[in-house]
Amino acid sequence: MTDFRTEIRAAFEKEQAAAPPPAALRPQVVAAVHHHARAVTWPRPRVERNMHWLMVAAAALLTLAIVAGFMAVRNATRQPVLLKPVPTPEMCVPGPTPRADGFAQAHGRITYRDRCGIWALDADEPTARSLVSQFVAPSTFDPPGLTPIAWSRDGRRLLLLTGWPGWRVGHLVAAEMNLHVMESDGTQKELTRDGRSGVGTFSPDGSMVVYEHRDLAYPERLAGMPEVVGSDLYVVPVAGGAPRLMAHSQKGWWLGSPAWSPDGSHIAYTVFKGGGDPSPYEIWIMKSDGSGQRQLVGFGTGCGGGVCIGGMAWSPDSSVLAFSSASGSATNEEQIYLVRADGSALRQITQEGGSWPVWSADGSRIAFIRNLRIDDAGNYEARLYTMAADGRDVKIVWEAGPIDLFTWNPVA
Amino acid sequence: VRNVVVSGTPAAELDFDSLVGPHLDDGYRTALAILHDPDEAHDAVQEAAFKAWRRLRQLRDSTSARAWFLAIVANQCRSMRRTRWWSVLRLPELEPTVREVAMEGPDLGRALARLSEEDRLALFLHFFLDLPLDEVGTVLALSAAGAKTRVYRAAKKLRPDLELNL
Repeated sequence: MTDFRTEIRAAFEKEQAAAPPPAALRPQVVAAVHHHARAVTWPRPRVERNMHWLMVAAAALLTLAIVAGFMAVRNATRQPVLLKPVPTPEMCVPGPTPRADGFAQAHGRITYRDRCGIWALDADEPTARSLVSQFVAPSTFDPPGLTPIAWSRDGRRLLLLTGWPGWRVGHLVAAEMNLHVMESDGTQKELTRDGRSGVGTFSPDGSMVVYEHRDLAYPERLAGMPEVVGSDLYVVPVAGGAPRLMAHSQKGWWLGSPAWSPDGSHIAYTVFKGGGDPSPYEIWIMKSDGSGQRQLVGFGTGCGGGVCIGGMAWSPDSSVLAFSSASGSATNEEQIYLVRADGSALRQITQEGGSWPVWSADGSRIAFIRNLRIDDAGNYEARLYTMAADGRDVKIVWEAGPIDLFTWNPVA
Repeated sequence: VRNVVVSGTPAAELDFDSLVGPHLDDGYRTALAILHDPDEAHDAVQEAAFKAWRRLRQLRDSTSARAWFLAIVANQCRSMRRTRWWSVLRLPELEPTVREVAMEGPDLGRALARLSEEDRLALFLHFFLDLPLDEVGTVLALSAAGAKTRVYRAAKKLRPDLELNL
């Protein structure tokens, strides 16, 4: 016991010794807090009462009215900004119980998860949401539980992703993730187990899943720790069986966001050709048997870090692809783009940020994630929005908590 | 912890310094253990300090200021990595970082690196910062018994044959 305690302490000490707390941490932080507190909360010293205070107050009120009016007009024409207090995180107290209705409650509805379970909500009436599946024990860490990422076309199977941050990519951490499938009778099984899976989608008949699979290396400089160095595309039968390689990554290539077209003919995916300078990122397409792999759109080179391109999604009629990219953004803010399946008519449809586009069943709207200001301190969290398929008519759908990934049930 | 203060007064400044100030280094170390990046850890501690200031009223006599602040730090770190946990972010430079250069021990270091962040943080709080189990529970939003179970299970993942008396 003593040895173990010493050993584990030594391991943490090595890690901590590489970057000890800055010597001036305490005075810096305390000074910043005091400055912040004075600027935000402290009352000004009371001025002597005289006849000028009425004029000062009137001027202040007039200024406030002008600013408020300006802000109201600005907010009415820009993305919705949350002006009311953010609801406290939902507690996993006894509430609605999941209904064994074969996912009927989720038909045509957006499906997402929070700390307590998986929910289905109507994009037009988000308050009337229903519980699809409850997590047994909420985790204290994100990401908790299973995150829904795709429905089968018949709405009877739900693809879920789970994982924990664990592997190093650059100086950030990629998640150790696995895929699960939940059937309409509530049963659930693990589809992949090696922790190297990424996002994926069902084949149109729901029998297969195409997904991204990370390549690991164990470079000497990491002392035996794994590092993600690229990603391939695999398919795996839902009924069980070994995954099969569909598209192999060349050195330093990252193949991701595979999306099976609803008509079953093709799989679109993203390719990030890392390791070079410049590092281009592109949209590729292949036939559903893996043949005929070709570039559809060359999108850009370099995006200053961050997610260069991702979130591929076919329109229900298999004619248009939606995706998100941080191309051309100095702040790595992603925007949503559309391109026709033949590679023509590439266009950006958001101007104020958006990622992870998902089509509605009838193809008339696209749901997506956008960062929303949640407090006066300038903090942002991801929230769920929808917009018309041409990028107009943006509406916030769910603002009661952060949403990272979600899907939209395709059964009308 | 005495004299719970009302934020926004000079007295509050002094109390904030005396209550939270001594735990800023531990906050930084905790943030580093979660985020593995000194700059991000510094940012996390600064943001957590702002939040602690705004929530100073929550601090009660019976609450450990250290555990209370570390819980805010841990939440801040989770928030910072929440946005893109599912995605692989590719950066232009691949520089060895804190965790990479530090975890040189091929056995325990690798095993620690493979633990979930939840398990890893439990071990860090208990064995490195020497937090008692009830304070580990406060940081992890668990009961003391739950924290004990978490620490025990995490340690057994590292050493399955370990006899651990907590």
